[in-house]
Amino acid sequence: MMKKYALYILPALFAALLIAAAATVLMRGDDPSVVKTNTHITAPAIGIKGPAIVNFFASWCVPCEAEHPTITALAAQIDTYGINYMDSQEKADAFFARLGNPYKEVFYDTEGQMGVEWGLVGVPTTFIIDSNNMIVYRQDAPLTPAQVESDILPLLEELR
Amino acid sequence: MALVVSCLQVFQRVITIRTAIALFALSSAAFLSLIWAYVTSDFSVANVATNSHSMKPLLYKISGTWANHEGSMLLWIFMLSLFGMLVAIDKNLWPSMKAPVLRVHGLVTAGFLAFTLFTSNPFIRLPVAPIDGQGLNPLLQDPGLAFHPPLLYMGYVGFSVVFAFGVAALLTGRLDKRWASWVKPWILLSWSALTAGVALGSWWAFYELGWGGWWFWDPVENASLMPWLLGTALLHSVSVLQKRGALKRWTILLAILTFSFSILGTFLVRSGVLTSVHAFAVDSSRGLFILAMLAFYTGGALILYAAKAHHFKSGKLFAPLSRESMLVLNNLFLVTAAATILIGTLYPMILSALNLGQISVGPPYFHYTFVPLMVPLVLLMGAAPFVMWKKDDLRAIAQRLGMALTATLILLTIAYGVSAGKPLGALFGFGIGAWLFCGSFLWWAQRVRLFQNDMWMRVKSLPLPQWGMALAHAGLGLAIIGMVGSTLWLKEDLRVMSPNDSVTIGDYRLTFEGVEPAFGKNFTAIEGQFTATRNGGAPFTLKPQKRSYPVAKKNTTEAAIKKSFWDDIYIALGQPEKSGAWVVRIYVHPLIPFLWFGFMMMALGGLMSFAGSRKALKGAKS
Amino acid sequence: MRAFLCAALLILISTQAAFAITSPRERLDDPVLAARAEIIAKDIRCVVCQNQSIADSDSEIALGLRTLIAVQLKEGKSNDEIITYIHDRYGDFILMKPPVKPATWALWFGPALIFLLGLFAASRMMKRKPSAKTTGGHA
Repeated sequence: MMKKYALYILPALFAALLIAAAATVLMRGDDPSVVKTNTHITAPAIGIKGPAIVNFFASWCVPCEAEHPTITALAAQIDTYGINYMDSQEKADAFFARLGNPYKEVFYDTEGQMGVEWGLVGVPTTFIIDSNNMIVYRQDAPLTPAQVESDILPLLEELR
Repeated sequence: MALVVSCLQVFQRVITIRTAIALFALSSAAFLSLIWAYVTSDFSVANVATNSHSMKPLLYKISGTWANHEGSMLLWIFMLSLFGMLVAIDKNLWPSMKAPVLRVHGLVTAGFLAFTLFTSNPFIRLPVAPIDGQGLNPLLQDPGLAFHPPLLYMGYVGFSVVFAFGVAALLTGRLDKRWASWVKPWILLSWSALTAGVALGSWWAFYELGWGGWWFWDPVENASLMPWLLGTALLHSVSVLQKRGALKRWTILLAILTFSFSILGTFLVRSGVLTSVHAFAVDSSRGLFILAMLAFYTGGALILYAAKAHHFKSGKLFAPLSRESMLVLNNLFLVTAAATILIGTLYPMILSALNLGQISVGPPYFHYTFVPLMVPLVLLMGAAPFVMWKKDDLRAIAQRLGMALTATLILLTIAYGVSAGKPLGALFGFGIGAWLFCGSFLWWAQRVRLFQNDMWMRVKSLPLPQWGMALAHAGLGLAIIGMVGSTLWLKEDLRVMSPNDSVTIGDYRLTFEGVEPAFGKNFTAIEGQFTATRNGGAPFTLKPQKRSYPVAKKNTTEAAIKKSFWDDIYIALGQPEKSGAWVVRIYVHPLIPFLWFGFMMMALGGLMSFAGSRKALKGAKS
Repeated sequence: MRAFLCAALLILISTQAAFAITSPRERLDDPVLAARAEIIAKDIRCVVCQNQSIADSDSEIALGLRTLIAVQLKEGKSNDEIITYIHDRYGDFILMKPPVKPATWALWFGPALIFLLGLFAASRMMKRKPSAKTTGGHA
């Protein structure tokens, strides 16, 4: 008899589990469209030596412009390389003429192939690689001065 | 003492009925006021100011009322109270069932009223009324989309009545053939509206969005397909209950779940827990509110179900070869299909809740899981109407099916000839659709004894529900042929065309004449000029555009589409190349008109069955 | 639910949502390769879009991935090799067809399991032989 009742409780239990899962996601405020990307993989070889910062940017990207002063400040502390993404050298040069070129070296990824190599989702994206060229940090959004203070400077200290 | 109790009971019932009617009067007043605000362009109402514009055509001013979240919730409430009122004034429904149904339904309405009042008030006033509104997105100014939400809501909300009947049966313990005949018209009406609503949305996506497809397995689309599948299962299981008094507990469960999936759909769309191409501004407080409603109504009903379901006696066992067992199989396939879509749609959310990573569940998943479930279902569907209730004999069924099988083989041979047997999958799909169409048509033909002396008398006396079934089944057969044709026989071409270049695709021959500027009310465009002929017939022009809307700072691609009886041709402009050449994308969707026609037949079939089941109810009473 | 109604807002919010028209540099002149590129692109999600494959998107990232597919196809790589290459760099999220692994077993095998359980329950409602006695079962 008990077994028979158990059968009829199943739909309610199942509904409860689903609602609990939905509530968890909702309360936590997960955004399903934001991709969680991996770190601790070896950076694609582009002929640079870590520790270093690799920053993807484009002249057509407005947040990149907002991020520019932060990158300029960081570049004084560590080797910082720029990868100009889905853009052209002329446009990048115009961008530098306007705002200054903070990078030690600039690579041009006009077709987005380097972007794919790095698993890029959008620009700006910033990677920090250690002396073994391992990606130890990545940020899929503009860097803010507060973040540099709280996360990045301590990390750079560690890497040295 | 007994007298007092029964007097109280009668009094309570009267109050319940009057309340339902009053609720309808009040909510229609609210709904009409909002429509009035839209029609008169009263921009002191925030909702009107953000979603309307004084220069819009009247139809789109009215439809603009429900083309936004707050207004659509008011439409939902209007529909809820309309259905509540219809139940209240139904003379065929016994008061002993009417009162509990109305109470449960009133409780559901209260939840949605609270949701609208506390999270989505459409009547908020602006302190200073703007001179003009911000306007409705041009894509929404389409007749297909004006009627899509009301029909879809009618379907969803109609199932709230079915839900109320289910819960009332659990509360009162009354669950018999009469209950089935009361609830069946509601199921059929809701099902027809939902069918038409989903089809209209699909039609709009195909023609207006111009993505070159009509179904994308997107969470928002899946959210409307799940209640449709469950509703379809329900309308078949309730027939077994009505005819044989069996499948009681199962039917109740389906009645609860169908409406629960409608609420789930609202949740998925409003909460933003899933990514969808139909993305829009989401609000987590709304999401939580709907989730709470889901927990209360679905949770409450399912707990009641757990406590009460065992009171209902099991029916007798079915013969393995009988209409009953065919309908049980139908339910098995449909419910598994709905469960599959539920799993596929919610899996990313569940993994995310458990911190097990992010995955995407896209169309390939559904092609691997959903389609294999539909194939046996449709094969069975072609044969099932020929199977007798209670018990049947395999040889007798085979005999009745002989004609349908022959007709299918003939159609298949023709299709093989036309398509040269490629691809095999398309031919297989076509065969399945043709089988269902022929089976349904010949079942009808046998019922009315087509081409015999007494045929007209039989055509007239064939009960409406049987007409409805034959029509809906045949419609699905046609729709399947349309689906198969438009996906597996799809011809597409992507090429660079210079002015005066010609290309042949399918039965069409196209010549690119060049591009010209074009101007609309609020956009400028580059318009491609194409001259086309179909099988050397009369030439016509196709003018795909690349538009830019300066105010909205948006560029859109407007495909040009020409419909014919057999197929649709579809052209879109891509990027310009050197020296006046353009990248051009061309699709020919064979048989797609069958899809829309098939959907229409299904909705119409549902309506005929609805009319028939209402008539039967009246007949039973007198 | 509000199925297509919301598409309205989509057009407001999302990037160019219309299907992609390919650019010259990712085009393949060989029709066999072009067909294969289309098949691969349909299985790769556009990570910045709302539930669209890179075949249906005009975003930069989709363009970059489609170009990559074209380049690798010309190099003679197989469909699986290209998909694995992209999967290694972006993770499971990029695949429209989720990989089969313990965390997705319920996704891939759940439907079959439900069907079999249902079939078992349905079979208990059927008479074994025309004369079999009624024994429990749930109707």
